[in-house]
Amino acid sequence: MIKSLISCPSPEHAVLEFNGLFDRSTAHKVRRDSLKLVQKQGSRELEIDLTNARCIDTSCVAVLVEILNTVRKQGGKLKLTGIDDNTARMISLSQLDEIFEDVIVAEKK
Amino acid sequence: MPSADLIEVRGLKSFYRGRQVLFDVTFGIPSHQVTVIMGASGCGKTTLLRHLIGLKCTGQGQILVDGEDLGSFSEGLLKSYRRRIGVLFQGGALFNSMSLRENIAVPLKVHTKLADETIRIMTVMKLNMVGLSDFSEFMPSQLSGGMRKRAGLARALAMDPEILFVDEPSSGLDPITAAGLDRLLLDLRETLGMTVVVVTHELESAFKIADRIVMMDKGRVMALGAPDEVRRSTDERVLQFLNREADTHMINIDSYYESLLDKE
Amino acid sequence: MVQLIRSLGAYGMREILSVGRMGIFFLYTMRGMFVAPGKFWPVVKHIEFIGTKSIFVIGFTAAFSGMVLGLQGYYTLSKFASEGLLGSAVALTLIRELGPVLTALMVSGRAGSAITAEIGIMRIEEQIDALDCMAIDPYAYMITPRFIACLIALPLLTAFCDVVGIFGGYAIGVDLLGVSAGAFWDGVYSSVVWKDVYMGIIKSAVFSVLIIWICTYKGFYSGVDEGSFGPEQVSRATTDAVVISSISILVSDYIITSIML
Ligand SMILES: Nc1ncnc2c1ncn2[C@@H]1O[C@H](COP(=O)(O)OP(=O)(O)O)[C@@H](O)[C@H]1O
Ligand SMILES: [Mg+2]
Repeated sequence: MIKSLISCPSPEHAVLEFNGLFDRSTAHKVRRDSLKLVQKQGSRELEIDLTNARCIDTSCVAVLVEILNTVRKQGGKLKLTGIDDNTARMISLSQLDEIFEDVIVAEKK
Repeated sequence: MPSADLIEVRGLKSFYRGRQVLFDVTFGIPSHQVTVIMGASGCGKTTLLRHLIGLKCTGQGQILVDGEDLGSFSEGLLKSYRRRIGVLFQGGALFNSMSLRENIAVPLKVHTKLADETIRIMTVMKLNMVGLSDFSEFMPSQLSGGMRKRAGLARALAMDPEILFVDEPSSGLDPITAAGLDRLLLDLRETLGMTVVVVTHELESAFKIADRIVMMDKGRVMALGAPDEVRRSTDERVLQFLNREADTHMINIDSYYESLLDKE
Repeated sequence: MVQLIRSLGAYGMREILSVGRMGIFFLYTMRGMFVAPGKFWPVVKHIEFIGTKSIFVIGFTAAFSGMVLGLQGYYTLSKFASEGLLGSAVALTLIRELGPVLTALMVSGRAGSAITAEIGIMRIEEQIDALDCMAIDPYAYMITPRFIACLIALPLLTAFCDVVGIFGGYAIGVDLLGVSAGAFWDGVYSSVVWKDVYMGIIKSAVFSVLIIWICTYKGFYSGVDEGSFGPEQVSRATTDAVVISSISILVSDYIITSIML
């Protein structure tokens, strides 16, 4: 199960917070919610907060890549916060560190 | 054997049409570790692996998965066990009517509700792990044996299995690619906490990646334990295998003469 | 003598076992209809293979069979000065007998053998084991879609064969031998009743089940009895599949005809 929470601190900036288990049985929900927001957001900045989500398999990395692609295609910016060690390791296992380098933001909330 | 083992093999005997190929094989596979099953070719490694993945019925002996006997699993239980495992077969076993990308997408398409684009990204990621991301649209017949093996590994990894069984992953590979695969297996254990069971006859790679070694000889477990324990073994045949001495006793001289002379 | 009886017994046992196994195979395939994965696109793909790609061969066969029927029918009927019946003779023979049987034989030779070989190769290369290990039901994944496809394709091909054959007979009878076109078509309309069409459809449905059942079964179990999995086993399975399905087509044709007449 995974729950999403949308908040818009400023008109230019939307935050999508996920809460729960992020794996291949819930990945399609994360994808759907995020892409929906991206379509609505247009070229603004999207922040995905995974502090309270636990990624346990590589399907979440794939979904993050897909979201990143879509955001970039729209000329927007993606920020990932609250990425835990395990997810970071999965990203480097998939040799995607470079792609995510300026996307992953260390905690500063 | 401590009961912390994920899979326990107890007194397993195996037969092919009456000919015995495994004799009282007993060992354990610890979870989140790399277990290497090692031995000369023809000693029964693949047969043992087929027992572990439930493809060959256990006639005598037991295989316990989480303490439950694999042989007594109902169809449903066997299915849920198999959703936890990923298998690389000795021949790769790729579907030859599909491209590599489609091959790897098969389990994802059947078992998950992921979107096509997500599946595509995942397949490319898996192919990249085994160093084949440039070949996603190739058909298996257009690849070399070693590449097919690696693609098979990518497919085994598609579902991020809890337990990964690989049969001779580095056969037909150059040393550099083989070392890359060893690295990958260790990374998988680290990152995803996978339990990895590797069948191999390559000494070097075995000692590099193993947390536990099961050394087999002619259907029997010859040595068992951590790499250091195996290395310190004083058993003559173990030493012979470790030192790569040619096997002078390999041929049974009597039966050799017999088969030469005995022509009706 | 004892040896002979023993080997006969062993043979009998093996055959009985394999009949039982075929039954179970069928049940699993039927169950596959209700098991993931989805069947739509695979079925379409197999219809293309079994059906679309057979159209040319079957059209050719049907045309020439119809033409021969036209010739033979004309010479036989002209002995009784009843050439006008040519249309009904050609149409009835095709719809009731020749159409279903010829189509089934051609499909088992062209598509059936290919299916056996394809599945047999999947068996010897451990691809079926791989499916099992991915927790994918191999029956639902590879056998059921082929069953459905064959059940759809064969009756359609049969209808196509009937039509082409009748026009073949028409070409010879009317254009070449001078039977009047009106008499030919009148013969067709007046003699073919719903029951004939019905019989043709039932036949082709039964044949399609036989073909696909035998061909997939043979492929699926190639090498299993011998316990060795090599190319010879696949080639043997392929030959067996074609021979056995052809024989069962002809035998069951006789049985259905004798029941339905
Ligand atoms: N399908 C089979 N039928 C009969 N004997 C087999 C079959 N597969 C393997 N064997 C025999 O079992 C023994 C072990 O084979 P295998 O497990 O493949 O060895 P390894 O994988 O260690 O090279 C060999 O002696 C081989 O001849
Ligand atoms: Mg082997």
